[in-house]
Amino acid sequence: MTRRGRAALKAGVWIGCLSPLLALLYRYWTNDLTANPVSFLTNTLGDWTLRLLLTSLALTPLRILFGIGWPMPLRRLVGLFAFFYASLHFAVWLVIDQFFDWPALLADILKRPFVTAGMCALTLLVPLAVTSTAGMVKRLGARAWTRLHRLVYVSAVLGAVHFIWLAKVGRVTPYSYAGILALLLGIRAVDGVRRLLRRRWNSPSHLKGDTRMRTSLREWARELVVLAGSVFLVGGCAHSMTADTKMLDKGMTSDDAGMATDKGMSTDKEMRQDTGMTQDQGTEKQ
Amino acid sequence: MPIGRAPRLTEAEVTDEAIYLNRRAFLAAAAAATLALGGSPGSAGAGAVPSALGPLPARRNPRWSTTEPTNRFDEATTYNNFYEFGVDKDDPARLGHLLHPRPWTVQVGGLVRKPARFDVDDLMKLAPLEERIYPLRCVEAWSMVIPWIGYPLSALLKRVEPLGAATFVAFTTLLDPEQFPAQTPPLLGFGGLDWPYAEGLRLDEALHPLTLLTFGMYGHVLPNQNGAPIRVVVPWKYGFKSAKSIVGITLVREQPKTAWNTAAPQEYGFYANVNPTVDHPRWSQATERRLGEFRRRKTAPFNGFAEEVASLYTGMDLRRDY
Repeated sequence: MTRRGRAALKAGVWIGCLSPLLALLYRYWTNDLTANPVSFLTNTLGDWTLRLLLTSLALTPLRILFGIGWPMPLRRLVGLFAFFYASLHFAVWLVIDQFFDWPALLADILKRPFVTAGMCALTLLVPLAVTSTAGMVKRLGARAWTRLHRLVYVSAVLGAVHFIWLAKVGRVTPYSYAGILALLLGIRAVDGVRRLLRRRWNSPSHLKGDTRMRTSLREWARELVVLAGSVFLVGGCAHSMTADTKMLDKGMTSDDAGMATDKGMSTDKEMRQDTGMTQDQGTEKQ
Repeated sequence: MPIGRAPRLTEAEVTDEAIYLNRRAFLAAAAAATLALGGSPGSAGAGAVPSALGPLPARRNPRWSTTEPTNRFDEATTYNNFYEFGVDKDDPARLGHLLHPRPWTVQVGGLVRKPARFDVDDLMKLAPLEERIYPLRCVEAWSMVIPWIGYPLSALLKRVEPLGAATFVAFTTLLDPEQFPAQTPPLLGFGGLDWPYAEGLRLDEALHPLTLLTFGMYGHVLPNQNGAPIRVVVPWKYGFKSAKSIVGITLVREQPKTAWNTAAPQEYGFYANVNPTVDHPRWSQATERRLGEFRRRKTAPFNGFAEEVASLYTGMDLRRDY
């Protein structure tokens, strides 16, 4: 591809990736952020985080399946934009929604599985964003850099889980995102297995040294883990939301039960105090 | 004695509100240009009400109204949970036109001496209509203040004369996929709620003077997306307890199956009283976002009606019966 072509492509990615944000700004200026702007902002920014993350993860399968290789250099830029939207999503939650209410924030991160998953997903993206420059690739070495950046798979899975866990019964979108992610990871895994097989068949066995064998075993194991992971993810989706909520609720119920025994008395008292206060105010007014 | 409390606003909050209203001013002007302003005597500053909605005059009842400022009409009609139309907040406003609120009948029966089928227009005349300003607290931790129009459900229940065995009241929403598109079974078998939407109250809750059989809001008949032509409003409970577009009211002996409680019992209790000390498994109920306000506010026990309704639950563990 020519230098000019590459520059045009990059410019296109910039425009494409910034347009959701521009659309939000436009909606802000025209007072069109719905009756609950905070929730709308959070949801839209979260949506675009996942969409861009899935897009960046779709470029390799595109090459594997159809041999279309030219978007490959765009993976990093799209991935960085995903991180950008994830940060904005987090910032809206931190600043506008909770307004630096640290105890409430911490309680949410620790107690709410969907917040925990989301925070982990974002945290895992930080080292990837930091090491995204060409200089960092050189400093880390291509091999280590590639290995580090496999964290994006984990982050994407956590992001998809975050969306599934926060959604109410009856929502399909979170499962379609997870399904697409599972498909994208599955294509990689199948391709990896296929390449390993081909390498084994093509090389005469007497040329294989012990070290070579061990490496390939490790690669096999890796591919199997990715494959198992994506099968698990697809299975989870197909299993529908009931299984997920049940799993989630089991954890929650025991937690709540514990809380009830610990604090049941004190909260009852608090409630009564609150009632008393309202009565006092009422009499005052009379 | 009025239950309305003076709004506890700090200087900062008042400023926020002013900025907010100012920011909205030109939107209101635009709305006024396209929509005829409907006169709504009881609800000044409610925003433009489309003239297509018939006026429904009613005198405000301050005894059972909060003094907090009401939300705008457009807020109350564009941000709704009404899963019969779809799961998104704008689905009810977008698809509400599919619902035909006339002619409409409501079957009131079960364990009553005088079961009857009412035309909704007759039902509207059963008792004097009054305006009640209630805060509506959604289980999703947001809230708005809405001027409803109706009369206490107890007036209707007394008319049909409940039998001694009646302990609960079950509400049934219309089942008709033609009018409620989301009632069509989904393609992938992804379950949501079981249709028709079912809700229920204990009889003493249903007879409480706060429980409003509702026909209108903002001085007009109910818009379709808000549960036309007839719904209940139970202001001390989370919003999903207030059944919309009701076709059946049945008095029963056993606690009835209710839609959200059946779909996710660990998340949505049968009682569902607004309670800041009992969290939803996935989020805290300690605070809420009042639509139109910048900062979250503390959630009040029983949504501010503790004085009126707490006695209904004496001896109950509201952590267990959430």
